Amino acid sequence: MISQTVKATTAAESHYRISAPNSKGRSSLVLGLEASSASLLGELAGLEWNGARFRTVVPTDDAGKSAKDLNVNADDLVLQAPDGELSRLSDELASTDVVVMFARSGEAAQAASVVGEAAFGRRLMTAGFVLDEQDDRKALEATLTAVRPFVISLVVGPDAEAFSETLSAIRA
Amino acid sequence: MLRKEVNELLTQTGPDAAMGKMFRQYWIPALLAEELPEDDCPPVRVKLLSERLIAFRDSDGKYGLMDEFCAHRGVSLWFGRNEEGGLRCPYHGWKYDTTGQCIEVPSEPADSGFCEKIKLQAYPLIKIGDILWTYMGPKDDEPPHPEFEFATVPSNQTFTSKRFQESNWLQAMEGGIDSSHVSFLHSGSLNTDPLFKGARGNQYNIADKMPFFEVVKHDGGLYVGARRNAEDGKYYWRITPWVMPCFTMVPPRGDHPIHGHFWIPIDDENCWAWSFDYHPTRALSDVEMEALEGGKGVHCEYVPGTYIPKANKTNDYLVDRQAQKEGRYYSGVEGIAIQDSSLQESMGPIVDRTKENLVSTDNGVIMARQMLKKAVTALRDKGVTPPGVDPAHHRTRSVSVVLPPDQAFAEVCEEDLKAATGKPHTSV
Repeated sequence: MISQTVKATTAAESHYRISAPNSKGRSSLVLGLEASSASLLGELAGLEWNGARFRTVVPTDDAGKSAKDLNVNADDLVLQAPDGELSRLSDELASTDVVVMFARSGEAAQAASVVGEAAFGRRLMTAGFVLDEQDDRKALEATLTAVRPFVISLVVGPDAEAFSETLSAIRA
Repeated sequence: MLRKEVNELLTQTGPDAAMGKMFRQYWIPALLAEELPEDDCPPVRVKLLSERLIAFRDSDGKYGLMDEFCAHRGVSLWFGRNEEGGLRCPYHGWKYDTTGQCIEVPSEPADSGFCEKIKLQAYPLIKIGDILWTYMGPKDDEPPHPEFEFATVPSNQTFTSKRFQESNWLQAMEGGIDSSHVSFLHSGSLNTDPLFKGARGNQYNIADKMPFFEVVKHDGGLYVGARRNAEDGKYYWRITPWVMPCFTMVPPRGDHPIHGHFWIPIDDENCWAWSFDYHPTRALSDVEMEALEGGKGVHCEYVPGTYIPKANKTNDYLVDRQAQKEGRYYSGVEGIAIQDSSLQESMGPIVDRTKENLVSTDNGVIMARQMLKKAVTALRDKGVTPPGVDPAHHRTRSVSVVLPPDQAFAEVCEEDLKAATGKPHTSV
């Protein structure tokens, strides 16, 4: 048999690769686990994305009235969009394909468990990005420990640019 | 997904390209030492980073690597006579030493000084382990010699091979840090290949096809940790070090030798896949050497007299559809090395990364590209020496280990990930 592969793998043949889109848009929920993430996620939200939504978890103490208004249960969370609009995690997840959790080194990131359980229950992909801008191994480990059990993929990145590029790479 | 301009930035390695200049910051494998086995042996054509070169070993055992073509009329010095301290062009007798300096032009008076004005571009060529290494960058920036453990252990503890791969270096290298493909593409080999079988870790690989990943930066590159379920709620971790720009190690299995790779650009559409196996604390056994020399594990069989794999694109990689159906070879292709090369070559010489759909478990690949891009631009714009040049970055090891769920590999395995003479490796 004459090999078909020789011709098929040339640069010239690569030009015949079909250029039609090979994927439908995926809905990414980019979720800051602490309120301190809000400004960075707000900046990122202003960039061009393939439908990614950026939200930040509203701390329990601050969410009292909001939680009541939104009918948020113990296994749910109040989220805030960059424009200030509040929503429930459970509602956001209903239209999500992948959840990307974000935290900074040293943060408690307690919300990871609620997000992770909710996402796993819906069989959604979860990923975590921990921004490590300080050289504090103990602080980093504390955050990783909180996030690790609830994400399929966990990355420690050096700066916000790395986070932005990671989101671009997965077509968020 | 990678933008077109970034894809070009990372995949082009010629002398004028930014990534080409970055590769020229490092000592890189050029030839196997066996290719120049004795003084005055035949010269060898070498193409690296899109430069055509000739390698030879002179009458005093000195190695030379220089421009392949005679400065006179452009004849390939592959036809040269390697004799009496130099390589002589057979066309008109011009002769060069290992530094590329012309030392004889027979047609010119000996004392005319003509030949002193003729010098071919040449690069240093040194032997460390089974490999002849070269440095193709600015002479003043030449870094300390490489200290990768596989190349510095006693010779009876290590084995190195290379194979020609018809793809850009980056798509080959990315396979080296993509742990998730092992459970699929190589699944048929884990329990049969003599250099893999028998390890307890293999069962975790096969049982859990959906690993969790953790990517952690280190000074020279990345550690890519793949986590699978083990017994009693514990996790089986396989930790792959990547040292910039193109060195990867496969996590070990049991007491088998540890293997790994260099992915060295020949030009933008071809690369050398260097593969090694070594054991840090003992000599390789006769059985292991027989398997290694027979092309098992991450090595391969060759077209006789070449470093071209016997199973290659001209014979459709000897694909066996029946073996694929029976599950002996997941892709129908035999052998771990060729399973990788067949798929990576199928992507075309330089894959169009704008069409990719990466997922979160590709984060090792994503982070490696980011680090490469950052290092390339930092070198180009500010002259910053890239990670991986410092030999301290070379002294790393891959690890496989079972850990309780609350322990992080980067912390618990910090010492295991460091190479040290005579220290046993951490392996399951």
